[in-house]
Amino acid sequence: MSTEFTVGWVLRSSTVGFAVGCRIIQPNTPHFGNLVTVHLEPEAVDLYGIVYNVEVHDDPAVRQLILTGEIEPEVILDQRQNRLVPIELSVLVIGYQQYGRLVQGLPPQPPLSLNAIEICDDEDIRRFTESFDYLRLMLNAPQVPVDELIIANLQRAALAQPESQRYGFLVGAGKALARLLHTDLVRLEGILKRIKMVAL
Amino acid sequence: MTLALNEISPQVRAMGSSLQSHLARRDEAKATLLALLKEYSTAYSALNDRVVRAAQVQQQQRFDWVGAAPTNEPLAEAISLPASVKTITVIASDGSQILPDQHAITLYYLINVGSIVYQHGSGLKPITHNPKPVLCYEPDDVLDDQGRVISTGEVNVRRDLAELQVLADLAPQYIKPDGEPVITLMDGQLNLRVIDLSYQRQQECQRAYIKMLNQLRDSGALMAAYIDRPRSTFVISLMQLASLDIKAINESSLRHNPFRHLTDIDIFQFLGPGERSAMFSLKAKGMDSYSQARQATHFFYLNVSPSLNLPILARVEVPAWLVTHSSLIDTLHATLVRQARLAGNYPYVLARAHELAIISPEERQAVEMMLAVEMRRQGILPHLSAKQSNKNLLTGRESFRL
Repeated sequence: MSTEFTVGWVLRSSTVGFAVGCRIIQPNTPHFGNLVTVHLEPEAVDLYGIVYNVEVHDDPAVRQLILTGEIEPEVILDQRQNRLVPIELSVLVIGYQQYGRLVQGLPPQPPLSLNAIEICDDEDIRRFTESFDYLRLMLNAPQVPVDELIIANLQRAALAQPESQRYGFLVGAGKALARLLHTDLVRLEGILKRIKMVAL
Repeated sequence: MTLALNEISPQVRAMGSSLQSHLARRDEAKATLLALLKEYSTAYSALNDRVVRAAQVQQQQRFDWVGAAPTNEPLAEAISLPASVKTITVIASDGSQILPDQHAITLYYLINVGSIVYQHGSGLKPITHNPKPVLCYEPDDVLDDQGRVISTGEVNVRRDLAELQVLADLAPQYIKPDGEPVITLMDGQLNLRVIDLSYQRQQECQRAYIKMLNQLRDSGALMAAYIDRPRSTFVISLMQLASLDIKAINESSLRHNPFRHLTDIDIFQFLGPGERSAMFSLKAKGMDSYSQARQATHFFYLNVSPSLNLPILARVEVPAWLVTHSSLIDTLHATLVRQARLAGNYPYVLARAHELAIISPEERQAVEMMLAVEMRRQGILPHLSAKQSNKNLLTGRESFRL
């Protein structure tokens, strides 16, 4: 598996998802819809998930600064880069890899606190999105902005494909969605329209 | 819950009534003090004569009179907020400690210092510094000559020395050839509080402290100490002297202060937003070595509040050598108000230095856990005193408290 670098650590987790804490100074804080991975030892399992929420936590000191109304640029830099104010990412688990086999489904165990999170690079994304079974997990996820998440994820995944294959990739994703949402054509149309915009 | 809140409730009501009943008397005393301040606003000579007299009384009677003396600024004057300089560097440090505890698993103390360098107008990220925390555990560190656990005062002195050391180390690195000012700022009083130490130790610590103050001065950095919501009564003591005939200044009259219910900030409520009071010099025993080094404490009160209706007063202490440079005092005055307005009426750099220095209860627990593990590794059984152990048991479970 090839990934970029650690962007945060697990704060709490369950089989279906987990929360990740990371500092704002991380140059590559994951975006909404990014595919991320966690390596679990000693089980040698790689979990895959999609970031569905990025939250900057409240901080009484920041509230105070806002109330004073005179915020110098140096204060903003100090608050953003020196202080330990965490960003919390919420991740929806969509698959795992064990013994070299990639499964688009829920893993046997969740990650543990302080497991490191890494952003998947283009090669990981291409490999994971060879199948679109994970879209079913996403569509069934409660309390997640599913449609927007699917759009953001497919947009990012399309960019990971060679340019000549992006259209074909999105057509394949669209067909998978059509099968899953054949009873909700309005919703399907909304997603396809947004994906089509990327494909063009 | 063991605190009988129902028993306290009537006492709280009585306390409220008492506070209310004192208001009229306080207002009357405040009016008297303000009248004295105006009357003696420029009577420097008459006031200084009385201060000298009070100093003589304390020498004869082994009585510690602490008060203010005028400098050359009218006492009743409110000095306007000067224009702020565009670029200036402010360096602050603060310290925190774990005190030695005879009930803990072993005797030790720990000092942690945090500091921050804030360059106004630079557009640069402030630079934070956390020198290595110091864990002290050798018998010579934690026991005095008689084998008693060292006092809280001793640890506080060592922490204060560490805080000043950081400023003395950092300031020269930020002095620029173009003369851009550098202010170093401490939380608390300027002179080292050594009262709990033996005489020899007092001398030793003061020498080290004054040496660092001199280093700071020689580096070209300004030095100030900031006391938020001070309860000092230095100017009140001076006004008490003003209210007395010089011949009536004796131990008895000095011991009975009719204004004892008030503090200096009650007098200086007339300061408008951003204004400061006149500069005063602090008169107290044990300041000789500071005076000889031109580091004797001077101070002014400063209203950092932007609001007309709610003054927020701090006492700002500066060394004697700085007082003669009025433009530098203006720079300090303007910068402290600028800093305080960044962060809710308290200098931003001091708030951040405190945040960097503070040892949280969780961090303290982590230190003690590390110590316990290391002790076990060395074949030593770590155990709390029976008292501490029982305290932990009885306060740890809320559900069993009656």
